[in-house]
Amino acid sequence: MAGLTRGCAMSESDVAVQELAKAGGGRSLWQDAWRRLFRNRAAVASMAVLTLITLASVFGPLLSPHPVDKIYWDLIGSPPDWQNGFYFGADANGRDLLVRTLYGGRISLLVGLVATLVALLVGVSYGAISGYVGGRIDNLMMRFVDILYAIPFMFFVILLMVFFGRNIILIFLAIGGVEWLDMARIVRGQTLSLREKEFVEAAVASGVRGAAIVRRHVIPNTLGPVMVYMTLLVPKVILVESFLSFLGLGVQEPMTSWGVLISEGARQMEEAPWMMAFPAAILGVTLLCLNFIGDGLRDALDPRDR
Amino acid sequence: MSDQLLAVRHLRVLFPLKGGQSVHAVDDVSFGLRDRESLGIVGESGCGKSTLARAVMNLQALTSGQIIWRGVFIDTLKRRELRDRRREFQMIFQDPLASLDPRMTVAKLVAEPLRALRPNLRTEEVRSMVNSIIDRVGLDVSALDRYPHEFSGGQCQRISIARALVVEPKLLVCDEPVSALDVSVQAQILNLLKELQESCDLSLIFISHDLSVVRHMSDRVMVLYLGKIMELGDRDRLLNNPRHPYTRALINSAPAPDPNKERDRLAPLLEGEVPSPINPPSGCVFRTRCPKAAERCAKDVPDLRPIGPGQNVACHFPE
Ligand code: SF4
Repeated sequence: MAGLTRGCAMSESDVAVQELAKAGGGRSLWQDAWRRLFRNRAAVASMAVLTLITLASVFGPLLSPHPVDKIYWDLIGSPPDWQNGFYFGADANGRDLLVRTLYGGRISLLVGLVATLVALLVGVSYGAISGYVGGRIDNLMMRFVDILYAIPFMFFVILLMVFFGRNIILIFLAIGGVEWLDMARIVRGQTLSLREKEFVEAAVASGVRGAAIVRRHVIPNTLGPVMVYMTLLVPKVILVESFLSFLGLGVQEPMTSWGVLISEGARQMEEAPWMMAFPAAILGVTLLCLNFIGDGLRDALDPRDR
Repeated sequence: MSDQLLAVRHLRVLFPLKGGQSVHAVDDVSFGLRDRESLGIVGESGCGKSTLARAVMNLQALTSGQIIWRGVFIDTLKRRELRDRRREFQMIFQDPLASLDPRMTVAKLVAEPLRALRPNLRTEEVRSMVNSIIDRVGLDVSALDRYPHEFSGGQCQRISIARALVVEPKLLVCDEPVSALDVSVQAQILNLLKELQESCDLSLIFISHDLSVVRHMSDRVMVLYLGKIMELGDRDRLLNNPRHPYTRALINSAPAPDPNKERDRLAPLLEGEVPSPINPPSGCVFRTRCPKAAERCAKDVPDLRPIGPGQNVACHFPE
């Protein structure tokens, strides 16, 4: 009964005790997640590769001796050749495929990043709020999502074009603006089950505001499935972009993207397989890396999993 | 009446079902709680104990009735005002691990109510209060950096207690705080709660299906059955001289009074099933299982009335 002698008013406890806690009292989920992520070898290797691809895409075209839109008339459709410096060969128009692949990476990575971030931000907050508030508001918010689902994507894009003109960033936003719908549904489903958890009720009982509960308890606990969906979303977005470009609604010549290169290459697959092989391989490696990173993040964000 | 902390009047919580029927979770319950008093609520599972606790904590909307906390009708408070009041009553839950967010460190978990309810505190103040309460519930400060899943059930319940008491409440509602724990740990947690109740001037509402735990913890005891109070009185009077047939049956089915030695759950000594709370029996809800049930019991609802000093019973034919 040693505790009896102390009053309940929070007395200053030992200085030593406080020092001890200062050392690590501020550890947050994300800091911990980073540490755990860096212990995951596949994720670290993937991050390295992805960084390399990104750097190459950003700076490669600047360093290359071949401008992205320069046509070498005598090299049209020529295979990779290490002697003359066309390591990936040339495309059907006689342009250096290496520099075009790197250049395409800029667009593809950017669209993957921007659209996924938009989908993530909008989808997660929309779904979490809808699920947490529940009742009639949830119903309304989800019917709105249903309505957006029903609008054909192409119609939406064309409409945007008409109003705002052709603008690559706009395309990214448009893709993100459509892809968040799935995210919102996933997160809402998760939230509905989280809302019934005792720790959420405990937080309400200890006076935590609704907004803080959503931010601190609901969203972090939906991150597992969100991460998985995100790693699926990036490739999807990259492919949607190539589809748009194929229809002439996406990036325009001489700009290019991995999706465009692959679909161009696919047309010549028989005579010139390298035209598809190189961009496809890089896209494949990128997606693989994203997958590993996503898996690693999901594990790292779960403290129960060591 | 100045030391009256909490008054609950004709509290009723019904859960409506499709088709116009409803589950009578808590039905016309009234009681009071004095400062530093501990009230034990006992009953079989499904008798509405938890709903009652959640209603008192304002986690559950009332169908009707009032909850008066230190002279204020808290059931009608606006959300903001209610949050200000939350500092004064806190709760711990049955499943210690499930009531802690798995993705938060203990430091964050314990600091959370402080940050929510006393946003003006400086970081160092929060930290020292967290450290001090962690120490008081019998945990080491090294626990602060770890996650709930790294602790045993008993330790998790200590964390929950720290979380509840860090804001220095007047009332602590404990909903079956030890029933999910090992027998050996139960006594430790109960003793900790008792000790903290003394040193922190707490009032307790202590809910359990386990009569011996309630006997250990309470000054007064309330016996609930199908959402209604069967008997309410001072612990010793009620447990030594039960006047309600249901209380009597409960006591007979729970022989050992020492919670340190044995966990004696309520054996279903009573004949028959607990009737459905969707269609509770007319008159006295206990009549379907009462050995003394008479004609009158089906017609008239017995009121909870005083039968002796500090003892109230809801029965037409008390023992
Ligand atoms: S009122 Fe009748 S049925 Fe109810 S407990 Fe008393 S004797 Fe039994």
